[in-house]
Amino acid sequence: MKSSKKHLDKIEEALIAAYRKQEDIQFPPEWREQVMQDISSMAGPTAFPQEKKMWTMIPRRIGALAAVAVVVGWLILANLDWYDPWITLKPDLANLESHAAFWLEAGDQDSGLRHVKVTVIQKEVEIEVLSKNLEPPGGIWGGTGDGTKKVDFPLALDAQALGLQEGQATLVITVRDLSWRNGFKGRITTLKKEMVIYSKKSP
Amino acid sequence: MWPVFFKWGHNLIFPPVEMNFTDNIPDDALVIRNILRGNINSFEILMDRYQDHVSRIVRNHVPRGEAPEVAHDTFVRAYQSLGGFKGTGPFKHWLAKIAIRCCHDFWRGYYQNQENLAGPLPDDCRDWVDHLLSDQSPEQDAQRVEARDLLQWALGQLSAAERTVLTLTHLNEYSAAEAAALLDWSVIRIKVQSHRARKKLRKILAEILPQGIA
Repeated sequence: MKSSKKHLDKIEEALIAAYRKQEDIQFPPEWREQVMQDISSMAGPTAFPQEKKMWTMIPRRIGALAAVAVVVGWLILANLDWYDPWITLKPDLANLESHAAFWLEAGDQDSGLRHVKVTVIQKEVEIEVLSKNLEPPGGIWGGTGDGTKKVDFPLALDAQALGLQEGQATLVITVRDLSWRNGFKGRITTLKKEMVIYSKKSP
Repeated sequence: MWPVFFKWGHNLIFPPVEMNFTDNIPDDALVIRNILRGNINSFEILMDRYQDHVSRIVRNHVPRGEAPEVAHDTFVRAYQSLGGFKGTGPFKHWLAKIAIRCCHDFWRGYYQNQENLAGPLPDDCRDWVDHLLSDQSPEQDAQRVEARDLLQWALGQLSAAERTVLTLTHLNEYSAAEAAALLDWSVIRIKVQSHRARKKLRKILAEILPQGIA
């Protein structure tokens, strides 16, 4: 194997040496005239298309960049809405019986609602009561103004079913809209309500 | 009457540059500007200056018989592309790029023709290998035509790209960066192609080693 490598090196070395010992080439005497003849046949007002191309390419590039900027700007402006979604909860109770019913209303005037979530936090434990996805079929890419502008629905809280104990608890309602704010997450509104859960004593 | 008027008008808008030959020879930029303004005879100045440079490049890349034709193509292509010469680097380097690409195109066209595929190794070349491996001085042997024939035969088994890269990096000792600039390829592509081509060349040469050695 080693001897084969050594022989290959020797051949390679000899071939490179032979290659580098090439003599100069003498071009035929008519060679130069032929080149000039070919060039003369090409000469004329359209002989240098590249030069012309350089000038025409600049406005084209600027136009293409401006078109891209307009499209991107339109997409951003159309999807960055300016108002937070809103939430109302009725009735406004401070003390919560083990069974309670509310009426929840939420809405967004620009892009529309994406998601409504209701949770109860008690002793640092978060319990999900409701999670409602309101995204249109295309999600945030589905076009502007197609989202749900307003929702209202009853919200029933059954402390026993949710595993809540008597005492302090926080009801948290979070609503997100379809805008591109907050890194495409949308504008977020949160309503927090401190409550005391108690069980109705039998008389 | 009209052509004379147009020529006069053209010269009024784009006056041919007066070249000062008494001072010294005009620089390339001035000559090129003059050619672009329609004075094609100025191209002869560029040919005078760079004919040897181009002939050296093509001589190293294509068979000797084809060198005048490839050099001819190089100058014609240079003239056609002259409007695209930005002048950010020397004209000589720009012309070298065109020459290398013409050589590469020559090999691409050559390999597309099935008749040009490498045949069996001539007996003379096989004898030359035997002679070299028995203690002959490589300096003497390197002079021999058979060595060049063998090299051409072995290079003929490579692809056009491998051949061009190997000729630049290995035979002409261009750095990978220089070869990349000449071919408008990435340095990585040059390194990979060069490594593969050399490995392939050695494999081809290994196949012709005499029985006892291989």
